[in-house]
Formats: sequence, C-alpha cells, structure tokens
Amino acid sequence: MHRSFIVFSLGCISLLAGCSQELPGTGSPTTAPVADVRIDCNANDDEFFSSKVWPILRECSSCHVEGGVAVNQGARFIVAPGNASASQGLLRDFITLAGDRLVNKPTLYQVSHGGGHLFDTDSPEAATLAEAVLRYSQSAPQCSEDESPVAEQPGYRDVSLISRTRTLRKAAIMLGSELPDTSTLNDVRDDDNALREQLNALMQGPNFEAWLKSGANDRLLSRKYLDGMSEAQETLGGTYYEALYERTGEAFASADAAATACGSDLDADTSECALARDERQRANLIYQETQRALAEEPLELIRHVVTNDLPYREVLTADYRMMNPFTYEVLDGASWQGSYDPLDPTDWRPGQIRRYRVAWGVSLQARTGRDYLPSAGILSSPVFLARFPSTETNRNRARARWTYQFFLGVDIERLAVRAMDPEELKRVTNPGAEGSSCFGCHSLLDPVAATFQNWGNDGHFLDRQGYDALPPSYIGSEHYQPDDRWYRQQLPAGFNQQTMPTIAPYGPVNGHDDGLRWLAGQIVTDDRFATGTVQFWFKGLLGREPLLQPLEPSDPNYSADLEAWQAEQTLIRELGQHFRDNNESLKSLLVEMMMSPLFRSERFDQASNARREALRELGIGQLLTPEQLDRKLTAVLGQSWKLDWQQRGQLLENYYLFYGGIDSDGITERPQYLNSMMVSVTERMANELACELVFQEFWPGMPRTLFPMVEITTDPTTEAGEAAIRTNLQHLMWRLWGTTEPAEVDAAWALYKALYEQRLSWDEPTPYLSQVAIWSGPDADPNEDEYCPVRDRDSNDGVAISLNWDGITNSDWVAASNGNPEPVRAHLGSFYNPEQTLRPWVGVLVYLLTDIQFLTE
Amino acid sequence: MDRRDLLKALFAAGLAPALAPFARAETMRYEGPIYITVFAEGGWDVTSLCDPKNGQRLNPASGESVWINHWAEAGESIASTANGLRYAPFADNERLFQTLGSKMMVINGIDTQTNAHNAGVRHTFSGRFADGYPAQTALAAAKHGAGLPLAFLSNGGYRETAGLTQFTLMQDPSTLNNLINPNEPNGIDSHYHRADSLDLIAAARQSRLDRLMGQHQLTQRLSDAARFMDSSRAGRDQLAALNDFLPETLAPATDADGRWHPILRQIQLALVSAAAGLTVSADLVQWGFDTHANHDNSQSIALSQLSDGLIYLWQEAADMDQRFGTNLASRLRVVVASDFGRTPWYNDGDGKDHWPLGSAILMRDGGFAQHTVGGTSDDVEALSLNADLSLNADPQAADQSRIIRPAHLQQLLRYWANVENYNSTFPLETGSLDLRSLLG
Repeated sequence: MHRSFIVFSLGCISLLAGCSQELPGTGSPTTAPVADVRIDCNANDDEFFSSKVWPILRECSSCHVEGGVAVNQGARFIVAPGNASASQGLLRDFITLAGDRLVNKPTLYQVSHGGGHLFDTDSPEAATLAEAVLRYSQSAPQCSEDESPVAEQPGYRDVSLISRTRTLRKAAIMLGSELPDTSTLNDVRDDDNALREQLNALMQGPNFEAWLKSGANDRLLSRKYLDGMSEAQETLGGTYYEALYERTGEAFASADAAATACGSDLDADTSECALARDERQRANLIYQETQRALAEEPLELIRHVVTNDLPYREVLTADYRMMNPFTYEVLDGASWQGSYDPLDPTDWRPGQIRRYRVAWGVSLQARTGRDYLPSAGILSSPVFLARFPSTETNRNRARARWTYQFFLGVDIERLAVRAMDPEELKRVTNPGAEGSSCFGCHSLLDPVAATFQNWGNDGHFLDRQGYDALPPSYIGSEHYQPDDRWYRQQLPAGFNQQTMPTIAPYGPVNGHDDGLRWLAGQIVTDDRFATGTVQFWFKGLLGREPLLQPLEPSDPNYSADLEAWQAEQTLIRELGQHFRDNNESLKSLLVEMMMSPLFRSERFDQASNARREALRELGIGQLLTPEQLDRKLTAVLGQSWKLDWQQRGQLLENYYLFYGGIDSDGITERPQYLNSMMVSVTERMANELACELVFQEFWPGMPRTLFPMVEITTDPTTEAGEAAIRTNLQHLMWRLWGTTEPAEVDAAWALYKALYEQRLSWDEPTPYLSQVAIWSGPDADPNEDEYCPVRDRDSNDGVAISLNWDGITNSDWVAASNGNPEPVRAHLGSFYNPEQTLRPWVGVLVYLLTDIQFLTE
Repeated sequence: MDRRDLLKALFAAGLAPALAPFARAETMRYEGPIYITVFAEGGWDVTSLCDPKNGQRLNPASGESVWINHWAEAGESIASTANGLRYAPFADNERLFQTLGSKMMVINGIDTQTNAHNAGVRHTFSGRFADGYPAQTALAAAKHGAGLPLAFLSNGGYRETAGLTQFTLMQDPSTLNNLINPNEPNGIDSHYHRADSLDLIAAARQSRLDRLMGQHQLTQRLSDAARFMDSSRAGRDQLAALNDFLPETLAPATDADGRWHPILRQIQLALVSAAAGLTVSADLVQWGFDTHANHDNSQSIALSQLSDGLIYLWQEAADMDQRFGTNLASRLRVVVASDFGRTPWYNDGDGKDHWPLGSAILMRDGGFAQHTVGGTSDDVEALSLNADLSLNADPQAADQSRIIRPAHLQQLLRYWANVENYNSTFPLETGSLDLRSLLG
C-alpha cells in the first residue's frame, strides 16, 4: 500500500489532467475497475470518505490544488489541502461531471493519464475510488430497501407507505426535479423533518414552475386560448383592449414592407430578403408570445405567488396582474420601473390593465375616472372570465359555481344530487327567489354571482359603455333603475350570509375597488379556502379528484366508500389547518400532501376487497401525464425524447393527445389508465431511445448516467461480470422504477442473460450495434435488422462521437479476428461490440422503460 | 444456444408461461354490433328537432302567452317523414329526417328531473343521479371487447367506466402509423429489434406484470394500472389492422362557414377502428347546444352540424362497406341524446334555458317497428305511457311511474347492447315501465 501511495503521489503531477477522449490503446487493462464494487452500508458517506478516500486523495494536494500543476494543465479534479470536508464536496462535483474517470485515469483503464499507471484495476485503491463513484453518482442504488413506515393518520393505519428515500425520489420526478443524490437520500432516510426540508427544496426552478402552471391549468383550463380552437387575442378582442393588436399589427406591417422590398422570392440570398425573413419571424414570435402571455396570465400569477413565498391568498387578492413584455406593452405601458427586453417572454412582472376602453372612442379614464381596471387575482383575469363566460339568464352563476369549486372546494351541483320537483322545474323562473327548493343552492350561488356584476358576459369590465355590465334588455325593463349594477329580481351581492356593501341597493360596491375584491377578501378568510386549496391541488399532485361523498347506501361498497371518504375529509381538514398555520404557504402544503398517505401509500397489510376498492386511487400507481413523463425521461435518462428539430419532447408534440394530454378546450380530462395507443407510444419511445442511450453511454469519454458499473467488456459469463451487471441493474431500477427488489433484479438479469445467450446462438451475430439490410448489400437478411440511431446528440458536450471507418487498418481487422476488438473499437467506439454485451442492455432498457412502474409513480 | 436451451433459459427465468396470451390476442377481431353514443353537449332543443312544438304557452316569467319557437311564430309548419316521424322545420332537420328517418326511433318526453348540467348528463347517460355507474358504451366495451386495443373510443361526454374498461381518444392518423408499428423506425425500412429478441422482451414484460398483479397487497391503483397495461398490451399488436382502413384524406375539421366541426373526424376514425375489428363502442360529441342567448342561431348551427355528422356516419359506413367489403352499416347501433331539453319559451336575450324534458334518437339499419315513443304535451310537459307503450296524451292524467326517465332509456340501451348481466352490479330503478319490447 505504502509504495502505491508513493507512486500515486508522483503521478499526481498530471493526475486527471485535461479531458482526454482518445480511445483505449491496446495496452489498456481489460478488467473494468468498477466491475465488482458494492457500497459498504456500515459506513455513511462521511465515514467512508474520511477513512478510505481521504488517505488516497490528500496525497494529490501537491498537484491537484488551485494553481497546482495538474490544474494548470486543465485537470478538473481539485483537492482542498487539509480540508477533508471541502474535498469531499469537490469530489462529488467531479464525479457528477466525469463519473468513473476518477478511477479510470489512475488505472489507465481506457483513457490515457499523464501521470501514468498508479495502481491496478483490481487494487484496493481502485476499489475505493470505484465505491466513491458509486456512492456519489446521482441516485446511486441504496444500501438496502428502507423500511416502509405505516401511516399514522386515522383512517389509513392499515396502509404501509413508501420509504422516505423513495418518497423523495417520487416527489422529484413528479415535480420535474433532478433525482436526489445518494447523500441527500441518506440525509432523509431516518428523518421526517429532513425529508420535509428536501421536499421543500425541490420546489424551485423552471421545471417546478412548469409543473405548477400545468397543475393549475388542469383546473383553470386557461390554455384553451393557447392550445384549443380559440385564440386569446380573438377572445379578448380589440374593442375593449384597445392596443391588443397594436404591437402585432406593427410587426406584421413591418414584415410585409420588408417582404415587398425583398420581392417574390423570400428565400433569396439578399440582405433585403434576410431582413424580410427576420421580420416575419419576429412578427410571428410577437403574435404567439402575446397569445401565450394572455392565456397563461392566471397561471403565472399562481407561479409568482408560490415562487416568491407569498401567502397563497394573493392568487385572489392580488391588486395587480402578471405581464411579460408582450402583454405589458399592449395592456399597460406605464407601471414598470426599469428597462426590459421587449422580446423576453420570461420577464414576468406585476402590471395593470390601463389600455382599456369601455366603448369605441371612450376611454376607461374618461368614463369612470379610473386609470386601470380593478384586480382581484384570478377572479378578474380576462381569460378566466372568458373561459367561464356568462349569459343574460345565467347571470354569472357559472362563474360563481367555479369560484366555489376552485377556491372553496364546494361543488354546488353536488349539494343536491337528486331528482328535482318537476313542477318547480317548469314553474320557477327565478331560482334565487325564496319559496322553491331551488333556493337552497341558489341562495349560496346567486349572491356570489352578483359580485361579478361589473364584468360582462364575455368578461369585459363595465361593457355597457362604462356604466355597468347589464344587458340592454334589462336596462329597458321596468326593473332597472338608474345607477344599478345588478338585477333587481336577483339576490343582492354577498357571500356566506354577508351582504356586499353598496352605495345604494343594487348599486356599485361601497368601500372596495370592485365587487370581486370584496369577494376575494371574504373567500380567503373563509375556513373553506384552506380545504379548497388542498382540493385544488389534488389533481396536479395526486392525479385525481378528492373522493366523492358516496350517496347511495344501497351500493355494495357504500360502507367502505364512506369510511374512505370520511378519512380523506379529515386529512384534508388537517392539511388545510397546516396551510393556515404556515402563512398559507402552498409549498408547505404540498410538502405535507407529499408526506401523507395520499401520496405515499404502497401496501395494505390486510384489506378486504371493498376496502381496496374504496381506496383505488390512493398512493403509488399514478399514471404520469405526458408532461411528467417527459420530465422524468430527462431526470432519469439525462435526455428527453425528441427529434433534433423539436423544441419540446415528442410526448408534448406528436403524441401529446394520444398519451393523455389535454387541449383545455374539448379535451379536459386525462385518462387514469393506459390504453393500447398509450402502450404503443411507450413502446415507440423505448425503441427510439434505448439503443441510442446505450451507444452514447458506452462511447469512450462519455459520462455514465445509466451504466456506471459495467463496461463494454463486462463478461456476463463470469462471476465478476454477473455481479457488475446485477449491481448496474439495481442502479437502473432505482432510477427508473424506484424499487430494487431482489426478485426484480433477478428477473432483469435473467432477461439480460437470455438476450445475450440468444445472440450467441445466432449464426454470425452482427458485431455492430446497428445493422440495416438495405444498407448492407443484397445478401443481407432484413429479418436480422437491428436499427440503432447513431448520432452525436450533443455536439457541445466536449466528446465528439463519430464513426471513423476510414481509419481502420487491415491489421486492426486482423486483430479483431484474433479476438482483440480494441484496435477497431478505437475508431468505432461503442458501435463495435463483437462481445455482444451491449444489445442485451438495449433490450433491458426497453423492458424497464415500458414497465408500469416507470410509467407510474 | 439452440431453441431448446433457449426455452429452458426462459423457463428458468420464469418467462415461458407468459407467451400464451400473446398468441391469443393476435386472433381477436370484433364483428358484432357497434354501439355509438352521440352526445349533444349542453342541452338540445328537441322542440325544434324531434319533438316539434308549433304553438304558444305561458311564459312563467312574464305571465304571458308566448311562442315556443320563432319558426312557428313565422308560420312554418311541422314536417314529417314517410314513416310518420315529425320534425321541426329548423336547421338542417329536413335533410336529417328525410335521409335517415327510416333508421330512427325517437323517444320523446324523457324526464331527466333536473336542470343542472352535470346531473343531467350523469342521469341521462348512466341511469341515475349518483356517481359511479358506467356508460352503456363502457359496458358494451367491457363485455364484448376484452382483449381489443380500442374497444371503447371516447371523444368526451359521459365516459365513466367504473373500472371495467378504459377509453381511448383517437387522434391524428398521421401519427397513428407510428403507433401501429413501434418497432419500425421512421423513414427507414428496418426495425429496432429482431423478432426473437422482441419475443424475449415481451415474455419478460408479461412475467413481470404477472408478478406485479400477483402482489395483492399493493395499492389497488398500481394493480389496476398493471391490469390495464396488461390488457392494452395484449391487444396492441392488433393495431396493425388499422393499416388496411386508414383514409387517404381526413374528414374536414371545419364546416362550410369555417366553424370548428370536429365530429366528422371523430366518426371517421371510429369507423376505421370498427372496420379493423378493434372497436365495440364509441362516444362522439357535438358541442354547442347550451344556447342561453341568441338561441335560434346558435342552436341551429349545433343541430346542423349534428345532422351533418349523423348523415356522414351512415354514408361513410356504407362507403367503407363498399370499398372494403366490411359490414359496418348493418352493425351500427346509434343513440343520440343530450343533458336535457330547453325551455319552451325564449328568455330576454332571445335564448332558451334548461328544461328537464328531452329526447333520445335511436338508429339502426332497417329501423324499428315503432318510430316514435313517448311525447310531451303541447306545453312541453311530461306525459306517461300506457301499458302498451302508447302515449297517454292527457297531462293531467300522467302516471308518474310511467313517465320515461333516464333509467328506462338505459335499461333499453343495456338490453340493446346485451349487457344486462351488469344489471345486478349497477341496478336501475325502472319500476313498472319497460321499453325493451320496442327493440323487437
């Protein structure tokens, strides 16, 4: 050992220097240094580092320090001399960046090293560094299956939960985060508070924000004006939003002028035509981003409130509207301080709708004295009001209905699920008048509807010339009195038995900027706002609605359903109380929801069929939406499933509706289970991804995300090879499935081996990762095709991937025919695999990617 | 390794027994009746369709006698088909009834007992107000479509399945091709995996699903997810049958005036799938019937598009039968229904609000012995049926137990779809009224 350290120290002059990507020479050891490595679960990361790794690495500090020789030559691995803790952090960073190069370099395994050979691939030092790679790699497999805690909440005590580590992993995937690393998983393993802290830490960044908006849209459906058949600009209209088309119009006029200057051939190689193309692109961008900004405005408000840790009530009480430059310029133009990039769609800030007129030629200011429209968060959002429009007879009841549903968790239509009195149905024309059974629900609904009084059927503020939002037919009726804002025959505006203060009966609100602002203030202080918020986020987080109260005692499952519903209601109330106690922090609420059996349930210790049926939507098994699956691919594989020219993954483009996407218009419900089309999508996804991933990961110099424990030479017929493959399978299954049950590792190993042996049973199996008959001459058999996309997905990752057929010499082929594939592989990389070890990984990856536990969480 | 060794290896890995279901799935093809529900979303005005009213009645809001329909006020008369079906001179009704009247049985006077949308939809299409009962199309798919990859197509509407089956939304056929053959790369005449490798992967998958489904302690949610994946995957290979029937051109998604008109494409894809033997039932949706304002104009557009769709359905089925030698037209069993009806008077905005009495239209090739069942009074109030199912025209003498309600409609539809075996699980309260004899 001592001699090893001396050699090692000398070698540190250039240890790990640079980023050598050359393929291995013929002198490279053939046994992978990580072939048979396991984590010592008796030591935690700190103990492992200080007792085993630090003694090796501190010898490097003469070279691998800031300003040291190795670092000056480009080495990315740096040690903090005398500081084990800092060095451990630096080591983690390096492993994240370079993976097993930490051990391949000093062992000269498949890469060159200026410091030469320091120790053998089967030495204890190599084993230690290999274990470090394993431990510090992102989402390395666990030492053992953690215990499954039993739920403590009343009504769920027969349910076992997924472990804390698995809960964190699941949360990361559901919220679009990266997978937690081993250290983080170890931190939460035995500690609920640590788990809460880490869950909270997941809630930041663009993926979380995308999840947040997607979850909110599943309720509010405002993306109808982005993805559906109605465009946002057309819906809002230029009559009231006077400048709505101003910027777009100017941009298209400019594009048209440039096109005229260019002439008939827009593709011509002239400066005028280049300008015309740019102008056209700019105009399209302005139109599309304006549309997006309008459609997503209420979703952006939620994002703004949550990511700035504001009390959630602000989604209703906000006295501002969220805008980005595309909407700011056409709706406001005066509120923002400081400069902005007019083409930056990510620059969202509060603003006001100032550029509004109550009729052609009549400005808001001139008629009402107001500088801008009043705001009551989502309630006054133009697209929210448009998405839930009204009519002269509906009189805002639909808006009131959705307000109850979204923000109070009350489904008015379910308050009386029964046959109605047929005579009343025919006779009653004003259900808000006392004396009929209709009044029960309408006494709740109609006063809230009246608080929307200033907003017309299409959502425009005081759309009758700025005087009110009443229809002409009512104005001409005997009931109307001057300065009224609401129908005299209807219940006056109010909420929860509180009447909205008005200047005069049925007149404008008194003491508040708008009826909706008064309403928002009432709602957020109502107890049901907290439980309503819990229920609002059920769909986005848990993929389902809250359980419905069972109504038919004669139903065979009634008792079990009732028990389940009551338990869930209790839990919802507790979650609501937590929300209130924590300054209405949505993040804190989401953390508690993810800690609960709603999110974590995995097993029933003893449950009758009725009990299981009653809890049929509880816990794991939640089908990922296409949005979530797309993000999961990136999290666990390191890449999305998309074509080169696509901005977004195929799950969000070609296959979005097939895979359960919504257009927020006619298609608003997501399927709970896979159907055959969706299964086909997953099979295509796996087929298109698997071989490419294998090809890239095994290419020399590429970081290993999925296959850190095996090499192209790992021989499945040897004991060490099998051990390495099994360890890697465990790693893969943790990443993709979240479980590492021994029986499943056994099954995956059996598949790998069967695929491997099958290949050996073929006559002359192809030594290449891809074989296509139509490219291989007339004798090739199409039945033996195995297509693999071979490409350099990321040309900027510092590792060039290309097949150099011309560089292969006859002697290289001779060497290959004599059992040494390395000379040929030096030119073809992982494309050349006469050992037949990679294609079985392709099959295993397809198996894992199409499994129900990959597609659900 | 020879085949014998390979099978031994498979067996050792627990993979071999799973091969059988795939062989079974490949042989399936559905040739029975095709059940199609067309949902007129929002509450249609049957007084301007199949329960035409040309008179006046009291508007309870104003206390005045008013015309039920403007077309009647303008002096237009109720029309009828050769077989006696009466229809309103409105929208595109003449074309609809004259083209398809011989296939129809109209059930009028269905009392949904509500004027709330969700309750109306749930009641009409499941037979009761409470949640949880499956739609008839879901029941049909569950009973007759086990193993079929697209047994139940749904484009919206009431699609509760009660966990018996799953629905599929059919979309863009250009992408559909990629899903029919997921082992074939785009643009290259090749495949990703050799067939025997795929067999091994498929066997491993099946074994894994069997293990998972055998773990009875797991959440029902994961068990159900595995179960549905199992059935979906078993039938997946049959998707290739779609290739033979995919259209060269898609039906238009807009009408002649450029308005969104998606029902034709819904129909086209449903028929393609049915022709391929993959579909038992389909839910189609025509939106736009909730006409609280400007009723005549908006309701007319929705009704015309609905007529357009129904005529296209039968015409396209006949065309495909001619092109492909399929037998679609004679297998179609169509029902058209809505949330409820609309008030027999106009509101202040010239719209019509919700009214509990509605209708349903059943259609099949060859029609029915009786073309109209049930009805409403001139005031559009409920009438009951006599013992022989004839109409008791006296509203004052209406027997409440013999007024047609959604439960009776669903009883009839379940009988039609031969799914009455589910009646014990999802019982319907039908009392003494039974419409099943109408189907002959």
